[in-house]
Amino acid sequence: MPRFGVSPLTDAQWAVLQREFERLLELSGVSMIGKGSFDIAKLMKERWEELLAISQQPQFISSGFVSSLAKKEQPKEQEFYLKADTELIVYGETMPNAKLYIGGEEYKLSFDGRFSLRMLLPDGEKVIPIKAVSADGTMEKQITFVVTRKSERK
Amino acid sequence: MPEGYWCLVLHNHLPFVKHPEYDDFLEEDWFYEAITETYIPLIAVLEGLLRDNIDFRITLSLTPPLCNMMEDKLLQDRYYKRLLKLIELAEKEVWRLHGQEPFFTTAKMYRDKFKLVMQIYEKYNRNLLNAYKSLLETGKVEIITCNATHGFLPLISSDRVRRAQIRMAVKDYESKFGKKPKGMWLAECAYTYGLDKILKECEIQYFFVEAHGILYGEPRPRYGVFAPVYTPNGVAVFGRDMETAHQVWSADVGYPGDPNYREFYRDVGYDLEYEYIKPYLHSDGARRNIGIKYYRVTGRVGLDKKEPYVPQWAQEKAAEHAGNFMFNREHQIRYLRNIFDREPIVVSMYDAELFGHWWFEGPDFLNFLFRKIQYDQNVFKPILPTEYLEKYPKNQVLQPTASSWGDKGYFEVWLNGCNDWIYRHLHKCEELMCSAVDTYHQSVISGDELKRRVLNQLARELFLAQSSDWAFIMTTQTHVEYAHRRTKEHVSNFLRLYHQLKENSIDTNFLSWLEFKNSIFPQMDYTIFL
Repeated sequence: MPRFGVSPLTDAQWAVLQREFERLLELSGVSMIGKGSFDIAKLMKERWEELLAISQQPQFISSGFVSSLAKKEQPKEQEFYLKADTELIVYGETMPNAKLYIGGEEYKLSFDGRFSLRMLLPDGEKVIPIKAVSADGTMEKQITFVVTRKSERK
Repeated sequence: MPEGYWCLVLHNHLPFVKHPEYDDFLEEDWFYEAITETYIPLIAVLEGLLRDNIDFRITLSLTPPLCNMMEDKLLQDRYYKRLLKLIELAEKEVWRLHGQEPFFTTAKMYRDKFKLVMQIYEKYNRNLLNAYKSLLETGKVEIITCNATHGFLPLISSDRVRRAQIRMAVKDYESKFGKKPKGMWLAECAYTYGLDKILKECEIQYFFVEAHGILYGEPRPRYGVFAPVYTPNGVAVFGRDMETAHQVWSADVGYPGDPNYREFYRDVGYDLEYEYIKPYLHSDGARRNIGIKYYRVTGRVGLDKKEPYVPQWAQEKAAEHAGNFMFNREHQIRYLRNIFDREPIVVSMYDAELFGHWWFEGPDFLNFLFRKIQYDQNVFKPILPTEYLEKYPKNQVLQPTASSWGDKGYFEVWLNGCNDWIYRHLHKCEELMCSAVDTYHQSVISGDELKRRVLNQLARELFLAQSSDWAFIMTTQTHVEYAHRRTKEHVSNFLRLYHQLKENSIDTNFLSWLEFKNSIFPQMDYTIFL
């Protein structure tokens, strides 16, 4: 059977005072033995259950929360709620061998020259300059979208 | 001259999970997530330390199932495709969150991290064992093995079968690293009387136990857990330091719970709009963790109250915690040196997956820690187990007690009402395996190659059934159905093959399918059971 507890046998070559040995046991963490599992899975499961218990709303939360956190209102317990937000899809096409820039950064075209991306649309004005430059760099075309969002909450 | 030494041991393990019969499989994600979040980030940290001439030391236990998965071509290809998708999603996220701080910075962080992961993965030709071999050659990294399929050795029915688990581990390590392992991590640090005799036979020089394995040993340990001991059979044993374990692990006071660290449970796989995220889910369309998370722990608040993650704050916190850990080690070791007549060793043992997967900033913490140890103090140095044994070859002889690092310190996690039913099946299979080897070994020596294949596959099925992960999962109630399925599947495969062998009517299609699907240990040799 496994031992539970410190052995009464002392090694004749290493006899030390009992109180010194007890101090050594404490430094070695004898009081932490068996206390609390260090199993990750158990810890994380307990954490998850705690989170669920104190979370007010369903786990699925729309991407709108990414933009609206700055001015979110804290719902009261059991309060009826509505959450919504907006994203913008920007899409188009150009010559397959052209270079495309959106907001000054290069965006990779698909093989046929098309592009499509989703962008968050928070409150305020969003300016989206889109520029295509020919492969030899001699020609360019630009389209700029200016989109305004204003939200009211009741 | 340092006043003491610190030995960091990271145990890298996953059960062997490979499902070629499906295009994608949820439990294979354990492996892919670990590569992206733990194994490659840690490799990147160690490579960075080497580049910057930091004199670090780290001991890595790499289990045979994990090594076999890393070498498997199907899993390598699947991971490569998974990583490509992840990078694609990260790029889309950078565009989606353009200009929206702090989310924009976090999105760029993920994009850059995933691209670095890909760079390292391709550098080693998609086989991470190449990275570990390279690290092993530096002399700063010790790589040890673990018994074959992480079977819970004390609950295996005989020494003969335990010996087979340990022999297989040594054989597998030799085939992958070109030399014998010096140390072994016993699965779950589960030790029972007599195991050290088998380790000695297999030329293993040292292993590890939980603190009470030594503290409750006979006679009393002269240095507590702060020096290794020798078992009566002459194998060195290092005991876990509980103070460092708690400092990192504890749910209440451990570092990973800091409010500035990334929250594990707010993942884009659940947060983002379904049609957008669907291409990055499995073919069944069920939402799952993808690995991009934008929120921080914040505190004891609900998921919907989590605040945005700020990478810079998290980095600063990781550096602060590294400084705190180092400070505590200095005091601990200085105190111990005053009461000992030799330099103590503090052994910190953790599951590797803590660093990066569960605690996202974990690899950064280690990076800061090793650098601070080198430049900000001179009380202690990192060390490898064999280096400490070279410094102090004379140690107390002590019989460790049976123990494990599971909850409550013994075997309860692997033997309780949730999983006790498996053992009569496993023990029966163990008995039949030995019987099959005894009965048919002569036929194989005489040239019966088909019987050799069957005996080898019987050994694989038995080892896979013995994986301690299944009993563990049944206790923690996480993926219970999968654990039941795996146990039953391997026992059923074993019994079916065994009966075909006995009746001399082997279904070679079935055998070939098992060899392809449950392909762990390509170099399997059933004579390890002799």
